[in-house]
Amino acid sequence: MSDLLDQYAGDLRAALTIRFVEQRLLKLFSEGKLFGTVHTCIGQEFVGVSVARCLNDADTLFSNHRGHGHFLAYRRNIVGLIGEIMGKSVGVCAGRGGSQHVQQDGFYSNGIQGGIVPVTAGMALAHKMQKTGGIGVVYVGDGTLGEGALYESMNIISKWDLPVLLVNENNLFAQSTSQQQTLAGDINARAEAFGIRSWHSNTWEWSKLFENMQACIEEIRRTGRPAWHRVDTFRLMAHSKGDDNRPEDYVQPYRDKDPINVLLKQHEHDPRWQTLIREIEQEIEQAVQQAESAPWGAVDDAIARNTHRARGYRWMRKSFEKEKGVASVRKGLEQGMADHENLVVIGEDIESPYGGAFKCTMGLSARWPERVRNTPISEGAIAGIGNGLAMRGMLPVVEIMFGDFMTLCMDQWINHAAKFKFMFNDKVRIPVILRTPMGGKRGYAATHSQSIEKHFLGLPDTQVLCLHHRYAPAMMYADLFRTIELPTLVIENKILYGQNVHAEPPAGFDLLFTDELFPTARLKPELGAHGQADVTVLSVGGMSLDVEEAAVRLFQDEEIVCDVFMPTRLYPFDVGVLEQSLTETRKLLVVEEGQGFAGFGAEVIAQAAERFGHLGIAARRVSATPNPIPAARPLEQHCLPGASAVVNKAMEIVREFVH
Amino acid sequence: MSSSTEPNTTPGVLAEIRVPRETVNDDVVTVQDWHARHGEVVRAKQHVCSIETSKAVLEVEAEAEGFLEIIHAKGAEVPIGELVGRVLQSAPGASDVVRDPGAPARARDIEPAANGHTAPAAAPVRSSNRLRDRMASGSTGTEAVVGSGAGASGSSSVSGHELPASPITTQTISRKAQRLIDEHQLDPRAAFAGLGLVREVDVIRFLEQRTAARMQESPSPPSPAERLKSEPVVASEPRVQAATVNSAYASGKSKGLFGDAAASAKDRGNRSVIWLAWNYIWRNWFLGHMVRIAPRGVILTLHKWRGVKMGRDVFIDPTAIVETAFPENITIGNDVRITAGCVIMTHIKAPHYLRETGLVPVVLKPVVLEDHCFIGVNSVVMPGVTVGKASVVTSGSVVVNNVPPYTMVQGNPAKVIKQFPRPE
Repeated sequence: MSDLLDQYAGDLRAALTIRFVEQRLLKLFSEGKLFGTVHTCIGQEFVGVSVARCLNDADTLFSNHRGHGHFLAYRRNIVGLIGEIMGKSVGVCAGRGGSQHVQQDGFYSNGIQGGIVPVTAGMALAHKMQKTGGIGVVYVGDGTLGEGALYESMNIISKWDLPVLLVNENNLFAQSTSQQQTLAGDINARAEAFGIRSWHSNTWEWSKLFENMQACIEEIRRTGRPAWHRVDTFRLMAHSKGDDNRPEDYVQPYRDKDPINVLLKQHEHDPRWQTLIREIEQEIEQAVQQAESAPWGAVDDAIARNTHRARGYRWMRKSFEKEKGVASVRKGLEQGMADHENLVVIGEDIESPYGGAFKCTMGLSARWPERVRNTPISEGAIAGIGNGLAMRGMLPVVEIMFGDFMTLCMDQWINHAAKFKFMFNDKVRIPVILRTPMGGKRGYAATHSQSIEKHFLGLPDTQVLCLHHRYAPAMMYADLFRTIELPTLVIENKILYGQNVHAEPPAGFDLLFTDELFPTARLKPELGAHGQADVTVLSVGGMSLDVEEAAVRLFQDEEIVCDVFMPTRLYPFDVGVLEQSLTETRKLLVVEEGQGFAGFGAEVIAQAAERFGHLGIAARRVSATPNPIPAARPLEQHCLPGASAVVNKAMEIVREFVH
Repeated sequence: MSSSTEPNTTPGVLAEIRVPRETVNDDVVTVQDWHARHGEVVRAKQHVCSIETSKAVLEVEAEAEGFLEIIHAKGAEVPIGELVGRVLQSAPGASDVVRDPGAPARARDIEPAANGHTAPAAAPVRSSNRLRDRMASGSTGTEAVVGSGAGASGSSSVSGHELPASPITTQTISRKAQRLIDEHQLDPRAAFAGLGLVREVDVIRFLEQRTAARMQESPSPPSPAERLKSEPVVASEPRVQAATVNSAYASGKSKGLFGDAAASAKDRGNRSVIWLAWNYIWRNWFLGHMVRIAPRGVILTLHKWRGVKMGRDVFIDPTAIVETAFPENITIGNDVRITAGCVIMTHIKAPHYLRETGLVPVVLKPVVLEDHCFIGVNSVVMPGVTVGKASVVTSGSVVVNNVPPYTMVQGNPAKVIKQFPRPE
């Protein structure tokens, strides 16, 4: 058996390193030197090793919450891992990520079950489009077989011929729950149902596993088709720490047949093995010392950057062509595709001749068939594919047909897109764009009319833009494509599609814009030297049409002068843009179509109260009534705010204004 | 107008051309082009018009053979279901094509002269019914079409018949302001050039300034009492310059017992020095002290002798100081109370050093206390301030900025603490 070391020297060394590092981490945990917890993979080491030995630098891996072994098999960076878990600056992500969020080179991990699969699919699509020759590998446990994102992604991976290896580590337990309680049907039949070739190995016959894995990966590289590789294995230790309820006599047989335990026992007296073990242990000890003596990850500018800095705003005029909102969006996308070769548009029903439910992508697929793709109805998966594409140098634009369906993308948006940049210590860029129409007034009722932007506001490292009819979407998209660094959600109000966007203000108002990249438009009343506005109105998104109508009516009928602001960016948002106007009016009216409770208006008013409280600001909100949106026209009109609601609230605040 | 102006009863309409609903996006679409000219003969099934929706360009065909009448020209935006054209049995009249969707209300106000009807031309009739206008002109026959060259540019045939006051395209006028403008027959574009939103107060200010200007030009101005009668006293907005409302409160004795100091100095040239010295002794020293010891009934008269301009029902406490040197710069409206210990100043004169170094220049600005305002005990009103109608300055405040009407201010410097509901 001594020739094993000759044949598999590197692989056995990797497996032993993983085992000893995990054991050392458990010891560090007991010593109270780790903050948080660790999920060890003791017993499963050979899975990561079997995959990593077949990969090259072009490939990408996505691991899960139990990723230490996968990482160490891929990059033998012990200091980087232990340092990361200890939260030290020598960690691969300088202590920002921790145990579950490790990133180096082509390796990524995230502690979200299932959500990493579409991200890997996106990366594999990028590999395919960029012709890097790389494949995407994603590790899913048997617990993840319960996640829908997995199946959405498998469908797409197979349909689109993406070079993805899905490694299923089947260790029989999801945290503490036995597979017998949660799993129906056959594991590999799942993959077969999607037309994905499935493989079956186990870690106890690890040399067979190596062979199978190699054959499997070679086939992926040769055919460009995905593969599913189920690897039966067993986790000898607890899911996390001290939460193992499995009876000892159940675990013991697995401990006895565990391949590393067997090998260690076999070579107890082999001097070569003893040397190897000593070397590894020394290496780990050095790494622990290095990590312990290293400083903590710093609270630097990157963490402090979102704190408010007061800035002044310069106002300027802009001109753009008057055209339908949908035409301008289409123009923006078309120009973007022409200017940026890495721009990819995916979404449901977006290809010509249909061109999207709202016709925003009409004609794009005819010109760029490779870069415009119809997807299945899998919002979560396509948002994840967008994330994966963005992380591998593409510029994905994902169309979500209705804003209401954004709920299905929540996981991808909150736990993936918004997190990667920071928790991977700014080593990755994720310039993904999600476009989606929101808003009602078209009779589409409760699940196709909502304005739910508030659920996407306030997520650090994202930005939320919204269209209104006073700034051309084409200009906004051109700037966005040129400068995008952060995941960006663009909210396009449905009503605006059929309305004109134009720069010609209503009579008596001047149309000004801030000098920002995504400017706030302002309808500034032209009152001459003697007049001042009565109320500052902030309009969110598509309400711009109603607010503008209300402003004209308020002036004509009531002589109430509105100073109207229409922000193009909802997050981050700085209320300083209203300073000049609020100083004059001391009355703030925020108009939004969605629910008011904890909405954007609430944020604006809170900021105004904090910043301009000394002015004695009075504030009101116009928003939807607190109920789902009904279908019938008169009912919907009652529930969603229109120009009359704005007029009434403006009159209320001006008349009852009490400091 | 004849009965033929009613489209429903018009014979000879063979087919209507309407905008179909094609997509869920659009409520309004654009007429991209007409493939036939106004008045031209079109065949059934012929494509006559392209309509641009957000989805595509639709070709609309005529459903009958006949003369094409274009209602909405190329470039017009029309709501779904709207009539964009018709096919007529006989050639239509001069095209009155509406190009601008915002235009209907002001599209045409006078019939073309070619119509032959004299009455509308003499007395402009406001009509927003484009169809009726067109039908009326259509009744004049086909030569108008030939004459105007037909087609989409036919609107030129009605140029020159617009209302004298061209449509307002850069201003919005409030209803209240419009009423006054109509009453006084003003041209808003000239009167309020540079003003986008025209409010009632802007019109009032304009009228006041016009009146003031006319009175200066006029050799024999009407007496102040007559002026008050003809020009109603109007509460002005806070930022109104005091000078423009002074005249409203001017009464016969407003120049003081011996006339206005500044005006007198101007009239008398070099001799004014002696007069000014006398004036100073009389007004500022003698009367200035008299107001403190005089019986209450006499105080107002003494202030008027000093030159303070004031309306009816004013109360000024004997301990109040209503300017020490330039009382003529103070204007007080009707029903104003100035309570004990108040100081109303119209000038600031700093020590020599500060003045000569320019650090604190000499300030001399009028103060206006509008109708019904109340100056609380021990308050100070600084030069240049206008205290708006029915406003309250609470005790011990120092007012440095204008106080809007129906407002309560407090503190040093005085800040708005409350606004009263305004009577409608």
